[in-house]
Amino acid sequence: MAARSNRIAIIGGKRHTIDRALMQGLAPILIQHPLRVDGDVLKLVPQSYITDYENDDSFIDFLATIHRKSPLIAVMSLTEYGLLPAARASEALGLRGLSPAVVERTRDKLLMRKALAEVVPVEAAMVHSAEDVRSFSRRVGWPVILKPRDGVGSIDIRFLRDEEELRKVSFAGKSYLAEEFLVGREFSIEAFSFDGQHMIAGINEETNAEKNVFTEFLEIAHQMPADLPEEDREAIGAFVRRVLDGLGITDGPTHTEIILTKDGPRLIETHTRIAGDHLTDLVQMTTGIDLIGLSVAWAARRISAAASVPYHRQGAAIRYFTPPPGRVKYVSGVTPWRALPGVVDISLPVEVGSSIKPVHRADDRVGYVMAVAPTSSEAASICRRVVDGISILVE
Amino acid sequence: MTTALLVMRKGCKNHPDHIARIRDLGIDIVGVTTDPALLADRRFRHVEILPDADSQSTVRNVVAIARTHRADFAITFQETDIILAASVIAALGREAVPVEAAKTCRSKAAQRALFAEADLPTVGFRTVGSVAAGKKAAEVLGYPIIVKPTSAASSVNVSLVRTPDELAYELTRIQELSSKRRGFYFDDNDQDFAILEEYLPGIEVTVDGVVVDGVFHLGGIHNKLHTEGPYFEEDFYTLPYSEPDCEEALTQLSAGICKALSLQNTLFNVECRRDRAGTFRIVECSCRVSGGSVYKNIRDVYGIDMVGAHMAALVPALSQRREEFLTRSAPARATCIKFIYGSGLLVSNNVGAAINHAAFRAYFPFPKPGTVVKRAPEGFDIIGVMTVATPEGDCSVASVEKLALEVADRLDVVLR
Repeated sequence: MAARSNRIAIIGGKRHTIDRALMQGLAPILIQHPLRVDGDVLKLVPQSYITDYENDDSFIDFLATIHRKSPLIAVMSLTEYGLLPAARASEALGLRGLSPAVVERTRDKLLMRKALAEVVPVEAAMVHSAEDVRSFSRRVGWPVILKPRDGVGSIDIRFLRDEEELRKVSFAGKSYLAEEFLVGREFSIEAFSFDGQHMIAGINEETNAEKNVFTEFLEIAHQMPADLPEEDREAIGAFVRRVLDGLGITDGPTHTEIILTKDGPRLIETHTRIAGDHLTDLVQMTTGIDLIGLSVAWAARRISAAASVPYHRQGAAIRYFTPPPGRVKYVSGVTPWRALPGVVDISLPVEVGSSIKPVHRADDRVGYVMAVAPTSSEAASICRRVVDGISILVE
Repeated sequence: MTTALLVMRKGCKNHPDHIARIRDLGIDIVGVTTDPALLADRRFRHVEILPDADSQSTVRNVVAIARTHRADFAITFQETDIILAASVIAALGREAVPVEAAKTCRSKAAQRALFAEADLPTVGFRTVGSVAAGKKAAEVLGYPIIVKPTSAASSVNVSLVRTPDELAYELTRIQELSSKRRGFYFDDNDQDFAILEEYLPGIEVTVDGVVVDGVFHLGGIHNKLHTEGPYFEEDFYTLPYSEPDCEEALTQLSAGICKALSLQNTLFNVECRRDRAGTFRIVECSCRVSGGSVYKNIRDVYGIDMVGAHMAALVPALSQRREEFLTRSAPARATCIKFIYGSGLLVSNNVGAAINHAAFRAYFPFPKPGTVVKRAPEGFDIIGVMTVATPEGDCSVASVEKLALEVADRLDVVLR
């Protein structure tokens, strides 16, 4: 029998993904962007290729050369900007994986809305000017949401309550996807698909908008499992399965954001990757499921489909620190708070003299606290207590 | 496009590799099941949920489904559906498993009669339909004696008894199982609910293979944990087979059974146990392969693709690939299937950190968290089945058993 390859190409692989591949006995080949190179990670992998993989397909030739000598099992990515390059490489090398067309439907919000028009209707249209927005608002009413067609991380999302707020928007050659404003609680759903079967690993409730945060759409807290009646939980699970089927997503992790409106769940967006904001940690703390390990193992087909029964045995939560902008003149001690029962981790890399930026995007948040408790509400209370208890004074 | 009718009233979750292989070969699948969860399963072109009905009506219903969806053939990987699948295949005019052969496989008593008639080595037995009849039969066979349901699987409610009182206790438990008709184990017509069987003290092995045009081809022989009772919880199914010198004899024995059953094209499974003299005797057989990871493990260890070969026998477009699928090589690695048992309230039943162990291959969790589970003698609940494999080139069974224990410790199985 021919020796079976254990080589897997990982595009934009972070430390956690490379670690899982190595633990699983795989030989990860790292394709990394020059601006995201981590020397410690490079030392771990047998081969690597540094290139702007979003704009330069030369890495596919590099992988093809390797593939001819010793076949690759898969090309995978768990980072937003690596998803499409990984799909293109998989297709070029004839390997399993989501097709570029499927990934494009999740990267491009207009394509996604079109693909799901019949499954999960949300009013949406491309707008190129204030007049386009006015025309859209006449159809769906105010408020209106504007978002970049291919945006991530809540960057450049506009919430327009009325004509006056529209006047503040400068289009200057820019186009946005305009969407109706959905009213309700916001949730994200972490799922994993095995050959078209979708496992809902966790439903997380998001808290947006807080003091000192300059956008309504940035998450500042999450708690899992969301405090929901069973029928809503089932409705959300069924809805997400319809979305994934509608987009043709058959394999791997997905992160889907929804609003539970009075008419049922409505889609904000979905991505064919694991979530940020430590949500994979929350899934692991509540269910024991390691979505990163599962992603690597399934991409390499080391495992069979039936691996887990998601079940929340405890609650978990994370909350971000959002101090006011300025220069830090005092930070109270963190160590005593680490001993508070339920606290899993506190990360607060600020010190006297650090500069705190206004919080416009995810990267502007300065730290977080994670906690577990019998229920997610209790875990969220612990996080809140820690965030409120640690003073960060600025001048 | 070829269409397969997959008849699995239950058990689809435990056969992902088998189902994936059928799809990989470009065959469309129409599913027939009782599990509504499969309605949303994208692996199937269509899923039909069977109503609760008697055996004959169920066959009529499934044949109608097969014709409606223009199925080319029917297949099952589930022990409790082999008669149903054979009946549908016969109705579609295909030669695969005679219905009588499937019925024989579902009845341990009928199997034993067939083995005796074909002069195949088997075990002494009596079937019984009451505790009184059991005690009488035991006097003839002598103690210790094995007691098992006539139509069950996975050693559920199989025990070794040494006294009439122990026998009465075990028979009462089996009678209860029979009356509940749990998991389609018992058919409408089952009169004798239990079988008393001569106890063979030697090691047990499971032979899996594929019959192509009437010829049996060995897939693999799994070593199994050797226990001396009183209960027989299955565990440590390992490959490669540790007595390769006996492989040919077990292959011939299996071929003899297939011939006696007039099997043409089917997956096939035999369990054998050594008697005191060291001779292998047939305990039971069935026209399916074992579930879970057995098929994939055999493929990973020996290269032979039993499901692929079976499909090549049934689908003309794949016939040229028969030899490729049937090619069996020297062992490439070792594999172990470890059964997870325990008693208590199941709080969590997930793969957990095991997924990142290099040896981990699969975990099939069975009961949902919140279930109370019991292991023998109070119950026969299997919490899950896990598979591990050694790196390529390491064929040591001892190594893979050690790995199984190490990886099982990392499963997220919590009992209170």
